[in-house]
Amino acid sequence: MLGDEFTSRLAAARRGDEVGFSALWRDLQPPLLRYLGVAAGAAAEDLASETWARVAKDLARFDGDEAGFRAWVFTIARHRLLDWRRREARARTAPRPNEQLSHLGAADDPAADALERVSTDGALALIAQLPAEQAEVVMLRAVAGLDVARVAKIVGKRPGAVRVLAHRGLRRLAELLAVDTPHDDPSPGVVTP
Amino acid sequence: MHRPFAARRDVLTLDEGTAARLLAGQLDPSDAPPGYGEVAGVLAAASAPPRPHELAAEEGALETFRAAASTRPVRRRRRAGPLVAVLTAAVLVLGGGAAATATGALPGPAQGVAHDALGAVGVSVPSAPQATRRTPVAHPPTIRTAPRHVAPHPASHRPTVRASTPAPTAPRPKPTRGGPNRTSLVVALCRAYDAGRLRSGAGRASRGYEVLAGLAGGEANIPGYCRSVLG
Repeated sequence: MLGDEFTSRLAAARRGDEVGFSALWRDLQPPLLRYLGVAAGAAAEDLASETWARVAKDLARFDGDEAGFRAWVFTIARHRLLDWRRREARARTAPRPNEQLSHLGAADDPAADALERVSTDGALALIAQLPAEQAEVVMLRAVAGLDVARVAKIVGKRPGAVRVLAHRGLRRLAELLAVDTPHDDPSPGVVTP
Repeated sequence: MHRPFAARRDVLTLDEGTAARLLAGQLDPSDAPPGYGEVAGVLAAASAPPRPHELAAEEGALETFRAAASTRPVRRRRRAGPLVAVLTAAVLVLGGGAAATATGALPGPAQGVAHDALGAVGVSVPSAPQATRRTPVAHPPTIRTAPRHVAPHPASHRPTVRASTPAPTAPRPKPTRGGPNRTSLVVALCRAYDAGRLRSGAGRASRGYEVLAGLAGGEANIPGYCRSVLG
């Protein structure tokens, strides 16, 4: 978040000033990559570039505060994501997103597991194991920092549905982590990933 | 220690307030409900500060931005464009690292420099006689220029060898020597000057040298000017 600087950076970017645009970009590119990475794996970088191309083109048309700008950028990103999914579905060769990140996940070594879990890549790999809708809501809420109302608009659901998805995603993370914990024996009744 | 599945599920129920705080990163793992301490850690790791590889695509993004900005119909921008091309070309003559540093910084922040340089140099040449070695009309063939657009007034596009004041209708007043520009372009020009690349031959005849002379308020002032720029 840029906070007080946001307004002046946006104004500068709209005037064509690179310094302004760079500030906006540096603030949003990491969360954008992470969101797209969970959803689309290795395609994240290309999708992020497409997103920024559209942002740059339509910058003059944006009006709003910093949260609004974030929401707008992620909305554009989600459209690119949906286009990508349609292309991939037609091609029918792409692995499911959580498989694309599985190489970042835990190995069989418990110590490595623990370390992976606290790393950013490990955390993202874990989130990527959630059902796609839950993963998306968790990423938009926790990593993109968007509130329920904005997330609801982006994913096209009611706020209540967004809350339910977030709760389910958090619960599923807790279950995944409980299963992975070395001293817990996975019992037949526990949900496996 | 096993727990029946049903009991585990009940224990994992979250109220909305706790969920919201978890998602906002406002819940300390030690304050989290049982089972959620690690979730707080995972969310915190997922929102951790950027790693270098996540910012690696910046130059590409800036190029995209420049391309988008240049297609926008803003009059001021179009006028600056060709001059920026001139300066880019001038710096490229200097070669090597100087060019890389300078061209990377050009359009945005250096617009101010470009306008100041225009005001200081325009199409007229500073008073020192050696700077007029080139013919009035010709520019060094390796440099792509658009003098017609660079001139503030169509009437004064005559590239003169007048050893006098800058173009009278410069968009900005000529900068005083008291305030050296520290943009990458000027730094690169000064470094090239100090390295001797601008003092003779193609370098001396280049547009970059002319710009530097203009900014310094005359060739003789370049050493002092660059001392203050390079610090």
